[in-house]
Amino acid sequence: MSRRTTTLLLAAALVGWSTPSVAQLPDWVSQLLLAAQLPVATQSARVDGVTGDEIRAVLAAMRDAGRPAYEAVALIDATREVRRDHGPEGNFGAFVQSQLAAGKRGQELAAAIRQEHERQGKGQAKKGESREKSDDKPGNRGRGRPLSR
Amino acid sequence: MRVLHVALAALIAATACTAGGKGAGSTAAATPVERARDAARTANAIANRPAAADSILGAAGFTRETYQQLLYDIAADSAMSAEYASIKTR
Repeated sequence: MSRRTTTLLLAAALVGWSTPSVAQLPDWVSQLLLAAQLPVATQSARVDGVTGDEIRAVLAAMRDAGRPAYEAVALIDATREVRRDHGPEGNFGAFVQSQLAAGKRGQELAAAIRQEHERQGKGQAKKGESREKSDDKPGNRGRGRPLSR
Repeated sequence: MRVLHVALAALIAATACTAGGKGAGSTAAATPVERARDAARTANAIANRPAAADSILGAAGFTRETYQQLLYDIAADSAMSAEYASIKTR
């Protein structure tokens, strides 16, 4: 009986030892891990047709507002979603800037972007249009245009 | 013999200087794509050992702030993002 208990205890200890204690991470580490998804999110957005200009506009607005990189992940995901569902948005960066200036952050800001697209009743993007404007075209890759400030 | 000692000292100093510049945060000489690779490797290391995040950042030559700024830079650039995404494991 005691042998069985010992085995169970050892198994439990092993499971506990091998499982990362993510819940105990400091906030800044969790935020850094989320921020590390930002380039992956923008890459996925480009693949889905979000233009380099749109991405840079969002990132520039977030940077100028002094927002941390992890907050931009949800925003890029929202941009990707509305771009897919409603097509391109003119002067997108200015809209994001105005929402940031109004104090909107994170999910609230992402929701505002979705609402704005719905309000404007944007239609579906024309097929091929997004890729045409994308900076992922071979001739544009690697140019590394800086963020416009 | 003395000449040999001087040459050896110069070689060691040169090697040390080269190694010192290899930290990912020392990005003066690194190309954008190399910076993206360094950042992705750093992110992978932190994801694998989150409790050691501070020391991993420091060993790579970053502060929390400079690393986040680099992530912004990479995210804004298509070639850097593609390279980063190809290395980032999770």
